[in-house]
This record gives sequence, structure tokens and C-alpha cells, in this order.
Amino acid sequence: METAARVDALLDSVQRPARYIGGEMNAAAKPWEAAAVRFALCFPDTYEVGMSHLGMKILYEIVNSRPDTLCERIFAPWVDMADLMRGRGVPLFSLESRRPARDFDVVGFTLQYELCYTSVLAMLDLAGIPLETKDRGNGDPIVIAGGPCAFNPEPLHAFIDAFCLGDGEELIGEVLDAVRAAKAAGEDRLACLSRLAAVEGVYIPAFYEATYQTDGRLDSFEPKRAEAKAILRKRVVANLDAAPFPQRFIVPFQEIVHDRIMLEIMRGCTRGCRFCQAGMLYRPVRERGVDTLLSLAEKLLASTGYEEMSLSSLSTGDYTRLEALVRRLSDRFENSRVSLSLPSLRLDKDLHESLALAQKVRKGSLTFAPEAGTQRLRDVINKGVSEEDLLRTARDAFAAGNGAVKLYFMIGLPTETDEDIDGIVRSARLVSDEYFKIPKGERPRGLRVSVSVSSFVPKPFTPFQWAAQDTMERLREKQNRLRAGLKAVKGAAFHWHDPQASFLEACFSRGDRRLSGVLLEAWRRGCRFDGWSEQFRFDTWMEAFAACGLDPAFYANRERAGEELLPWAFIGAGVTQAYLWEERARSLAAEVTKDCRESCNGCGLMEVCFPCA
Amino acid sequence: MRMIVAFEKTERVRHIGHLDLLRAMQRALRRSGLPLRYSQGFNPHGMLSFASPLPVGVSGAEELMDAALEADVPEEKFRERLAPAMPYSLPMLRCRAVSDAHPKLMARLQTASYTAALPVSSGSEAMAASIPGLLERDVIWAVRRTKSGEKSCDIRPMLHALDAAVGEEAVVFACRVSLTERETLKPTLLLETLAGQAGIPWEEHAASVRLRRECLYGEKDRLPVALYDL
Ligand code: SF4
Repeated sequence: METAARVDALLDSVQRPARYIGGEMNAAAKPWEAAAVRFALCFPDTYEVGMSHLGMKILYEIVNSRPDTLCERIFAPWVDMADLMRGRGVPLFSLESRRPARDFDVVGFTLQYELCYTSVLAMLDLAGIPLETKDRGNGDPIVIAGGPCAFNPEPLHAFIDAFCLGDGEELIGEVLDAVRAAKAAGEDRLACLSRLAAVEGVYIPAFYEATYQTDGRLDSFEPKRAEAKAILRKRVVANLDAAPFPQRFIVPFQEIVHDRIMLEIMRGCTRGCRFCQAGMLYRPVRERGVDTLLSLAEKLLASTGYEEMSLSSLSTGDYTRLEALVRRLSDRFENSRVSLSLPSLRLDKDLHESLALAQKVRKGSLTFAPEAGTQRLRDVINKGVSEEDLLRTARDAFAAGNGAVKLYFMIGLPTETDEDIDGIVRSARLVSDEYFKIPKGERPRGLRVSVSVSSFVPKPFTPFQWAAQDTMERLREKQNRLRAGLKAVKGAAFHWHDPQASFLEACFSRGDRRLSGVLLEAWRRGCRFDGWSEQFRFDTWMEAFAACGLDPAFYANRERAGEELLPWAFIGAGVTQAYLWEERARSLAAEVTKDCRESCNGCGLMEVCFPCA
Repeated sequence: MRMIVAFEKTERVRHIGHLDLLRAMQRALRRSGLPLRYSQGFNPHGMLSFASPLPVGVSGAEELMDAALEADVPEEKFRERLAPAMPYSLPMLRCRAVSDAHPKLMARLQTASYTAALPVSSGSEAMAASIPGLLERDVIWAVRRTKSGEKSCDIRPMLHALDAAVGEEAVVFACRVSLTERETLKPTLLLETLAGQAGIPWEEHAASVRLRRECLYGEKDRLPVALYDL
């Protein structure tokens, strides 16, 4: 039987079969035979999660708009489907043509979070592709990966043939060109990887060698082939306004996490929050023009029929022409029954007017992210938000008839004390008090202050990349303190994250090459979908570390010295290590660094920000 | 005016649930730019209804929906606009303009025909061979499982036609059964009853049956007429 028929035969026996059916509006149906290069775009999580990811949509469109290439999607089959597939010998397949992943020339993963790594292995295994780079032969696809986690690629170095660093819009085309050329010339795998190594922003782990000191720290990291560059610079799309953006999205049948049009209004963020990896990785800030966005919005609405649209960026409130954009969008679509939602609004801008406009279109709960509970700690993390900002925005929300407020905080931040933890409780109480200051009858009904508290995970390419993560015990103590404190706040609901998952995330976010072994071991012992709490098996992970003779605390809870060779030091992410170290010093002195829109702080991207200087 | 639209729910997308299908059609109409009428009120929705929801896992050769329009649109133009706005897995087949006074599809629905394919086996062949015996009976007791428990009922009055064709790979059963608010015979219950007649354990076959609704019928002069034409 053909793979397609064998897949179809499984679908009557799995949960949520709509995850695997494809056939959606705007899904590509390019002829297989006509394509010179076939690209399988893989997301190592479920359909609902992966389909919500904007980067997938952008790459899908770019690759499929090339006449010589076809791109099909693959998501991680959920455990029931994966087991059934394994049992019946059905290989990992693409949604569009239901062909085996193995038949593609390039299999590309997008890496959005560390806890998806076992899904990468599970997908490769189901595909029948040798898990490790060293075991792959000429007939096997080239396995590539990109996304934020590619900035510390080392824990996956054994499994990925080529990592792609930075913005993918231009890079993906160059990668496909290289593969196409290698294929046309009938070259072997090594020659193809050599071609890829020549592409700016592509890292071939097999071309490098790492050695370790007796205490476990990295000793050396060196290229071992001539074509391997010493420093790998990330790619940056200089002009976002001119960069491709899809004019149609695939419209899923089943509901997905973000089931709407997402307009990327801007990429990057100049705020310089010191815990935020995305803020550093996606620098510099680049905006799309209002006219471009309006025209994209129009085309997307016509091609999808979606009834909701959101603006997407790291910091929507910073978009320079936000008010004009929101006003023009709401004027233009007033009669089209489209609702507009504005996510991740910042606290410190007078967005009153924009908010009022957005509320006219759609009422949802408002979210604020003070991240830390005291001004001192907010200065340490450079989150430029004051208590007054928080309260004013809460007042505005209540005045606009919105009784539900979501607050986001982190615990375990460097220099944090109990006073800072109590500050979180205090912030929630102040918001709650604001509500009760409004006379009954005038205030919206149903106060809900949801306090979401995650545990801080130090990430590469941030000023906190040298910092120790709090131990799990310490995080639990802090959570208990919060829980007790928030009980006394009227209307408050406490949401927390599992410290075990944050601990594992911390290991992998700053892990070295040796973690490939741990990953393989954990996967062999049955770990999968670690980001899903019901699947997460912490004890098995700890067994895997032990089996490899590695101590997870070495990665998560250890403070690094400034001169330590970091596993990701060979990657040029734009922002320099010197700048990050300087920011670290300022942080410890609780010194604020201003938004670099006002004046350049010299973070390392001057070439892109000031091309003519 | 209203437009009655016939479309196919292809086998590939047979697992889409009714609400997901409804949403897909709402979006298809939005893409088409056709003047769908919207309900009044706080949460307006496009006035779109189906003749009969199709269960998850069942494909449909000619499903019917009814779209209320704000302005008159000629059939030809409607088709030109909607057909390209439908996903290829839900192709539009034809459409027919009717007045607002035209009865609701659901109100005139009487029966539906289905095909059910089972892999060829001694069991499925025995079932095919038992059809004449089943049809001869005046009363056919079957056990209906509902939320409130098991209930015995006579399905004979709801069974209007049943035959089978034994092919090389599959035995294809074809039936026409009642599908109204008061009386509905599920094709799977019919097959289960037929298996009982043949002395075959149905559980062994239930997972491999592939169901397809072929046509929805109303009635004219006590004879079945395709609901689309009625
Ligand atoms: S180079 Fe200067 S302006 Fe550009 S992102 Fe860095 S600090 Fe900001």
C-alpha cells in the first residue's frame, strides 16, 4: 500500500484525526515530480501549536513561491498516533501529499523551545532517518534547523546536519540553492554540507570539534575543516518592509492556538530587558510600513476569511505609528466583521487612545508584564516599568469596562530577595485596590487579577547568560511564599510553572555538546513531548543525565566566570559578548540602560543600524 | 433570497466535525465576498445552515447547505465566486436559488442513502448474503444505545432499501434509511443488525467500515426525491 493509504487507514483510530488530514484552504498542492528540491518543513510539536507559528507560515510561502521547490508541512504526531504508526510501520509523512519524510531532500525543523528536542528525535526516528548525523548516508535527507534555539545549537549538534542562524527569509533560499546545486552535480553528502558551510549564517556542527576540561567546562572549540568559519554570523533582513510576508495563510479546519491573521508589524526590540533572549536575538528593530500592513491585511482577509486579526511583534506598543495603524485598520474593516486584538501591550506608553480604539473592536482581558515585584529588581532586569505605569493601566482597563487583568512575573531573577517576592503580592494588591476604589455600579463586574509567575531561565546571548538558575527547592519556596501572600488579595488567582520543567529548560538552553548524549538517552527511555506537563517525565530525565555521567546542576545552577569559554561563543548574534558583560555589570549595580531608539548603546549591530556611518 | 449549495465532503476530510465544517463554510463565504446575511444581536453570525450534520468519520458525496443572502445573486455568479473560495477537499458541486419562503432543508429531509465499504472477508460476504433474509422480516428488532441506556426498537419501518455488491477488495453495502428528527436509523446500527442476522461478531468489523453519505432525500407523492431538487 502507498503511504497515503496507510496513513488514511490509521485515522479512524486516533484522537483528533484532523491533525493529520491536511487538505486545508491555501495548503499547497505542488506537483512532486516537477520540483528540483523538496523541502519538508517540520515543527516538533502538535499541529495546533505548530500551525500557530508565524515563522512556519512565512517559510512555507517563501519556499513554495519558488518555481523549483516545493514545501510540505510535518508536525509531531501525538503519542497515540506515533505509537500506531510505529506499530504498523507507517513512516512520518507530510500533510500535503502524505509522502514519507525520507523522500524529501531537506528536512527542516524550527526550534522554538528547548523542551521540544525529544520530538525532533521522535520525528527523525519515525521518518526512518538515522538519528545521528554521522550515521546518515547519501540517500538520506539533509536535516537542518533554525529558530531561536539554534543560537545555542550544541545540545542538538549530533542530530542536525546544518543549523540556520537568524532571519530565514533570505537564508532559506540560499540553503535550497546550495542543495539544488549539490543534487544537480550529483555530489555526495559531504560535498553538499561543504556547500552549505559557505552560506553565511549556516553552521555545520560536524565540521567543528569541542574539548572539555576535567571539571566539565569547555576547553576549546575549533573548526576542523577549511570551509568552517571561526565565527558564524546570524542573518539579518535589513529591510523588513521589503521582505516577503505571506498573502495567504493556511486556514485549519480544527481550532489552533492562534486561529487568526497575525500581522507582523515589527521585528526586534530595543528595550533591552536583560532576561529576554528574543529581545537580543532579533535586534535590531525593523518596522513594516502602515501602507504595507494595510495592504497585507486586506489580502489576508480576502484569502483566509478569518474573522480576527492580531498585530504581532515583541513589543507592539513600541511600533512608531501604532495609533495610525490601529485607526486605519479599524476604519477599513469596520464593516467587515473583523475583530482586532492587540497582544503584549507595554505598560509605559500612553496607549490610552489606542486601547480605547482596540476596545471598540474587541474586548478581552488585558495583560501586563511587570516581570518583577519591586522597582529595584525591575532596574536590575532593565524592565522600564514603574508601579504608577501598572496602576494607571489597570485604572484604564477598569474604566474601559474590563474587570479581568493578567499580570506576568518571574521568580528566580538574579539578586532576588524575599522583598521582591512580596513585591509581586503587593503589585497584585494595588491593582485589586484600584478596582475597589471605583464605586460599585461604576466598575466592571467580576474582578480577576490573574498572577502568572514563571521561573527565570538564564538564556544565551543575554546579560544573564553567566547567571545561576535558582535551585528547584528555592523556586518552590518562593512559589509557596507567593501562594500564601496572594491568598489575601481579593480577586487574585495564582498561576505558576513547574520548576522541574524550568530546570530542564535551563540545562538545555546553556548546554554543550555532551547533552546530545543525554537527549538520546532520555528519548530512548521514553521521554517525549516534554513541554506537555502530562507527558513530562522528570525522573527519567535525571536517570538519563546520570547514565551519561553528567550533573544537570552543572548546567542550570552554576554561576559562570567571565572568562569561561561558553558553548555558543562562536556564534555572532549581533550583540557582542563584551556588551552583554557590560550590561551584566550595570545590572548588578541596578543601573538602567535606556532604550536604544533614543541613542545607540553600541550593542554590536551598528553596521545594520547605521549602514552609512 | 437563499441559495442551496451542494458540496462534497471528500473522504480525506471525513474527520472534520460539524462545528468545524460550519466554521470552514462561514470562512469560505467570507472569502467569496458574497453577501451572506448575518444574524442580529451581540454576536452576529452568518446565516448558514446544513440539511443534516454529518458524523465525524463519514464523507458525503452531496451535502447540502443553505445560505441566506442579503442581496439577490444569480446562481451562475454565486458559483463563480464560491467555488474557488472552497478548500479543494470540500469542492462545491452546484447551487440553486430559492426564495426566503422556501422550506428549510432540514424540515423536508426524509431519508438518506449511504454506502458502507467493508474489506472482503467471510464475515462481510456472509453479511451480504443475509440481506434477503433481513428484508423479508416484518419486524427487525435492534438494540439502540443512547445516553439513557439500551433500548430495543423495530428498525424495519426506517429501512427503505438495502443491497450489497461484492467487489474484489470490498463489499459495498448500499442503503437508504430514515433521517428525520423523529426517526433516524444510523447506518452503523443497520450493519450491526445485519451482522447479527448473519451470525457475525460485528465488533470485529466495526473499525474497518468506511461510510459515505451519498444523497439526501425528501419526498414527493410518497416517492423519494433528491432534497436538492425538491
Ligand atoms: S547597535 Fe545601537 S541602535 Fe542598533 S540595536 Fe544595538 S544599541 Fe540599538
